[in-house]
Order: sequence, then C-alpha cells, then structure tokens
Amino acid sequence: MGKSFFYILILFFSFETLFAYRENSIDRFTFSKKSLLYDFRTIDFESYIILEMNKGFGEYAFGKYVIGFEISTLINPYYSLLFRYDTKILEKTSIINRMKILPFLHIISGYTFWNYSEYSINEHNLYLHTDIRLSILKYARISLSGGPGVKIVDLNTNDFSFNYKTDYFTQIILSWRLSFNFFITKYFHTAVEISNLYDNDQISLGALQLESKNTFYPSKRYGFVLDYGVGFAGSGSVSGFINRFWISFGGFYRHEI
Amino acid sequence: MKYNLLLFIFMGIISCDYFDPKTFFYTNPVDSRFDSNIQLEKIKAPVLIDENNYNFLVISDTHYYQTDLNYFDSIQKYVNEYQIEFVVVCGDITQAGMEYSFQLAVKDFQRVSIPVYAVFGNHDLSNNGFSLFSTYFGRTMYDFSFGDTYMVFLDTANGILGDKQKKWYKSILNENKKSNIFVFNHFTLFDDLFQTPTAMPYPEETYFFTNINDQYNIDYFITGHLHRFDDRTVRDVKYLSLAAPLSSYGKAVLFIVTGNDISYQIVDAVFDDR
Repeated sequence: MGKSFFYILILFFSFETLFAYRENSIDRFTFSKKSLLYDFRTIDFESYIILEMNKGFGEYAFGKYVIGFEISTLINPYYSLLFRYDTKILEKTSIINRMKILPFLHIISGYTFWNYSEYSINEHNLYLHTDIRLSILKYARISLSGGPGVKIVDLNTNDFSFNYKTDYFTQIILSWRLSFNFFITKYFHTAVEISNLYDNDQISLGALQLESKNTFYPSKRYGFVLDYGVGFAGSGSVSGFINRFWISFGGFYRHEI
Repeated sequence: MKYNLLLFIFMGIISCDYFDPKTFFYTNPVDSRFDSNIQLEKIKAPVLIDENNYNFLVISDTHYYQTDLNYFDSIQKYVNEYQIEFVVVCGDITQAGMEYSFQLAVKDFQRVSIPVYAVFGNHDLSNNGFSLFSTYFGRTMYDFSFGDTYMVFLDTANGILGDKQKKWYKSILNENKKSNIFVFNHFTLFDDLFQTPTAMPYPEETYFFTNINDQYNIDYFITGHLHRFDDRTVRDVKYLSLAAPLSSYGKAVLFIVTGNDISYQIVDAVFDDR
C-alpha cells in the first residue's frame, strides 16, 4: 500500500509541474477605470505535454523487451506587454507585444517509467532539464539539454514492503544530450543525438550513446518516432565498447495547453 | 602562459604510467577476455582442514604501484588468531596494470602462508593489465567449490558483465548444488544517493544481478571499488562493499562459515600496523 501511495505521489508531482508556472496574464491585470496603463508584470507561458509510448525491440545486448512510457512538458516563457484602453463605452485589453524572454531556452520536465518484468523491477525517473536551442539555419537546429534527474527503483515488484536500500533505492543523476536537428519537410524531422542517456531514455551516468531519432508528423497532434542507435558502456564514459544496438518504434500524442 | 601550463599538465598525464588516459577511450572488451579465459588453466579451490567450518578474509583495492605496500605481513600476524584459511583481494590489485606493480603484489601475497585469490579490477585493466594479470594470477573469471560452499569470481573490469559472462554466470548457478554461495566482483551494484561512475554503469545489468542473485539464493555478493564500506540486503541477498586498506572503516572483513551458518565481522585491526 505504501509503495502504491508513493507512486501516486510521484505521478501527482509530475503532473503538477505541468501547471505550476502557468499564469493567465489577463486575470492578473489590474482593473482601473478611466485610465490607460501598461502592465509589465504579466508573464505568460507556452507549454505543452508530450505523451509518448515506446516499445523497444531488437535489443542487441540483451535481446529482451522493456516496456514503458514517458510524459514530459516543455515550458518556454513569454513576456506579454498589455495595452488596456478603457472608457465607459468600451473595455478592451489587447496584447501589443508578445515575445519570448529567452527564445533559445526551454525547460523540460518529465516522468519516465520502465518496467523490467523479467527481473520484477520497475524504474521511475523524474527529470528537470534546461534545453538550449540554437537555430543556425531555417532547416537546422542545435540543441543542448541537461540537468538533474531522480531515479527511483523498485527492487522487487512482487513485494510491497517499503524500506530504503532494501526494497527501493533513489539516485540523483546528471544527464546531458547534444542534438543536431534537421527539419527536412513539414511532416518529417530527423535528429542525430549524442548523450549519456541509455537506449530507453533511462537517465544514467557513465555511458555514452549515439542515436538517430526520426519523427514523422502526419498531424500536428500526433506522430510516430523511429529511433535507433548504438551505446557504449564502460568504467569511463567511452572506455568500454559498443555493447548494444537498438531500434525502437513509438507513437506520441501532443497536447498543447 | 596558460596554454603552456595546460600542455605541461597534458604531457604529465600521458608520460606518467600512474594513470592510463587511453582507458577512457579503449579497453580490452569483456567478451574477448571471456574467450581468452577459457584457454587458461582452471583455478583450484583451497585445501581446507574442515570444508564446512572455516574462516576467510576479504580485502580490496590494494593499488600496488611502485612501492612495496607490505599489507600481507600484517595479515600473516592474524592468520592464527582469526583462523584464516585463505584471502580474497576484491579487485584493483595494482594502480595501473604495470608489470612491476603485479610483481610487487605477488611478492606481498607470498608473505602469507595461505592461498590468495584475486579479482580483476578496472585499474588492473589499464595498460596491458589483462595479459599481465593472466600471467601472474591466471583466470579473471572463475569458480570453484568445496564442502557445501560455491565461490564465483567475476570480471567486470570495464564496469560491464558482458553477454558471454552473463550466460556463463547463469549456467554455473543453474548447475550448482551447494548451498553456501559467495560471489566476488569488483564493481558495486548500488551507488550512493548522488550517482557517480563507481557503480556498474549499465542499470540493466544491476537489475539482472538483483534478480538472478535472488533466484539462486546467493548468500553474499562482495565487491570493492567504492573505497568505502557499504552493507545492504536486497531480496534476501547480502551485498557487501569493502573499503581500501588505508580507509578508516571496513577495510578487512572476516567471514566465518559454520555449516550453513555464515556471518562476518570487520577486522580492520589486521591493517593497524600500516
């Protein structure tokens, strides 16, 4: 029971992050009759949720299936300069200028769940990454993301006791990802990524992987992802050797708030 | 000026054999070491007076480099007092896998009157470490049994178990009929709250170990590498990580086996002379 409660708590906080920074600029506007004013306090946020389901197959090193999902949100703050013109006849609020404060900076928070049913182990990852995006050309973009993550591993899914180090353990991990994105057509985007993540996006340190992520957008809301790559593992970041190769195919649904 | 300083540091790193920078880019892969191990002679079990009642000592991370560290002279003084029948050194025997370091280690091991079993660590893998380790100590992955005890020594010097060794580990545990099972491995499975590169870097292998150790009722999974003592029980399997000989606590552990009853005690006193 305790463990289930803990999972619900994690899910709650991961969803909570989606709404934590969102403010409605209009609601915050100070009403004042017969006045003309500028309100500089208002900040609005663009954010959207990406719901992604992935199922990996063709795992070279282990030849086994891992199933899981990822929920993430991307936040990029806007600065809105409001102009309010108010007479007894007409009340009107309009946005005269709306711009991104730091157009290259995004904040990505998310939750990833992976189920290792073969080992009776579940893995929960919560992360908060900053993502710096530099558009070098109309069709190309470099992005560098990184930040802390918390991994919570349930060491025995068949046992409902809840003791730290014995039944579960937590770890704080720093991860990074350098991504070269190419927007080839309106319906297709490909990226070459180098990161210290693992094939199934488990956040971890002491690893290096190179992957190609291909995203197809038949619609603005949903799409498909074909992801393949190679991973190195070893005592140093690249001191090991290629010990895994994977291809995964997944779909996503993107909902803008 | 600052470029000269950087160049000086870089030259220092590449010219000094204390640290092998190429290990960050390439090391002998574990699967190829598995193939080489098959060609080496099997390592024999210790000959004990009573195979079901005995004590043995485990130390780790000795890091022999250019000086004779003389750890085993200290241990020899306690052999009779603690009735130690053999010693296991849980990896990182040498600092950088140099031949003179292996020679110093062998010389020191010979100071005790009992057998010493070696585990292959990441520092031993540096330079030409694997071939030298094989020359001086034999196999890097091996097993033996005596009485009701089964002991397995794994090679995770890259931080990886590897596909071949994984299958081998599973098959030997499947065939085993003994009930006291000890597994020795250099890399720890579980890290601190803040992850460092000291634990096994591939989480899936950690989960594999967690599951299979539980499935085959391993009694103790003993590691080094962290240079600090850690003790935890996961799914009824005890995971012990030993500190280095110059650490403050948990640098020498004495296992006491009485039939199927296994216990351990920390005997840091064996290094008090150091």
